[in-house]
Amino acid sequence: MVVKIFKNKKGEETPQKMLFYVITSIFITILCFIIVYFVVYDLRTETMIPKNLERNLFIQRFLNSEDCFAYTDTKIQRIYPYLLDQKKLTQDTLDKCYSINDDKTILSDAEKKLEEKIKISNDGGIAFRLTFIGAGIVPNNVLKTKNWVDGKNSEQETPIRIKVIDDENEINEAKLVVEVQEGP
Amino acid sequence: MLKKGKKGEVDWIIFVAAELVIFAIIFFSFMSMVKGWTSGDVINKVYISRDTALLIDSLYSVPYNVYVMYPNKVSEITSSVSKYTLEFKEGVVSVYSDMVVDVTRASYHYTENGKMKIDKKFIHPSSLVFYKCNDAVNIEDFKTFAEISETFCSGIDAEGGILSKRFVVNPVDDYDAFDIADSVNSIFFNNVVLSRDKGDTGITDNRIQEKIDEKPTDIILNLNTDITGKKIVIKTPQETEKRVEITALVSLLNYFIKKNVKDIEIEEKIVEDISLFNANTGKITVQIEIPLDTGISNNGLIAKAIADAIRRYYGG
Repeated sequence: MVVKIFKNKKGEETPQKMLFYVITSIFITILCFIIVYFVVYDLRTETMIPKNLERNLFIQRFLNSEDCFAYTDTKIQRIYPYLLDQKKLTQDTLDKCYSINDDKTILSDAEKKLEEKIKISNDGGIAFRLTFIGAGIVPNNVLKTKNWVDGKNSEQETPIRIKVIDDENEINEAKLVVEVQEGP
Repeated sequence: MLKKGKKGEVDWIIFVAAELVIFAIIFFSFMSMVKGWTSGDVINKVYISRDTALLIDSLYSVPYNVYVMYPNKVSEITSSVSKYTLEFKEGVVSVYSDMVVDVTRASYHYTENGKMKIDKKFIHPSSLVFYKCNDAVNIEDFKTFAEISETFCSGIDAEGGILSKRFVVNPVDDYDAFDIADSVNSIFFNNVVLSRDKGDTGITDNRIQEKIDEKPTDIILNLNTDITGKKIVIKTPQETEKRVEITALVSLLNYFIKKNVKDIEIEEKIVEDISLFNANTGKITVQIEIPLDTGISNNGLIAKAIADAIRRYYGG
């Protein structure tokens, strides 16, 4: 009987049926939007990461880690956070301590294209450009992480006061300017 | 009941109304299901993937060796870690359920250094230990503190001390001793002065000289308050190393969190068994535990606490 609900005697579809379909489709669409909204809202609020946390962790890594720029007294195995070893202020050190895509040294054309896409999208990672300023530091000593994209918008963090120790164990005041690229 | 019109047709308005009622029932049932779905499984996976990834990143930012037990109780969600499989590979944490294809699999990225690539998979882990040993971060599936003690930094740490060379706080040296000592005072020990030079505060020159005469030392630790036995134990200096041995029996991370995440009340937990500590390294060592259940859902609280504390401690 239900099949005949919206049909006239000749079995033709009535305008009421069309109206019913329109209302139903609108309703279902709204329902879908509401569900998606709730899912996304819940996920966002429940799993929110504090603002700038990730970038701060990486900046700390640059300054504190033996594998990055922090000076280490090898005799007593002691690491001096925020005291940077002048010898370590190189691109090579940064690439090692902030290891992104470093297993793709030999790339095919297809992989290079993919690599380029990854670079443009940042692959969810954060890109940094570090500029060291101070006595005893090579002028314009600028280091960039592998995922840094020249020309893309970036934010500059407040310059960080650091100290740099040279080969003769002389310690100089310096500044580290950190620029960050985050997101698409 | 459907009503028929003059021509025997169903009254479509009533029909549509009935349909809408049915839709409404389905809608609210479905919403309830979705709510449960998002507040449970999916969110758990996303949370754990992000939390563990941030934890790994935070370990790299700690200057010395460190380990963190997981799950912690900063969030209740982490206690569900045993329900899932956690895979750490190529800079990505993946958290998923036992399904052929888990459509709600959650992933998040972390960034390693050049020392070691993490490649681990844990199926329904009861607990995990994230640790950094000599700048290499790794993860193990441990159940007890004793198991951790046997393997942490084994083969690398010649001293073999359970907590030796872990998170080392040894801030006194030739430069900025005052500033750092002040930071230590304010952040960790309130009234502890770590000093090296005669001009440092908290200890008289004569007393320093007496100490140095007693045994060769580079560092004098002067406790202005009586916390010996409660939080810190001072060991006999090793003459060969010429440094005072210090072992802290308190979770510094708890101090970190207490100072930096104000809405979390952290209970201090003191390790009583000092035989677990090896004093030969001459450094303060720390066990990290997150003991309280706060019920707060927010990714990266521990990571944030570590980052903030280190920045305040070392960065001024």
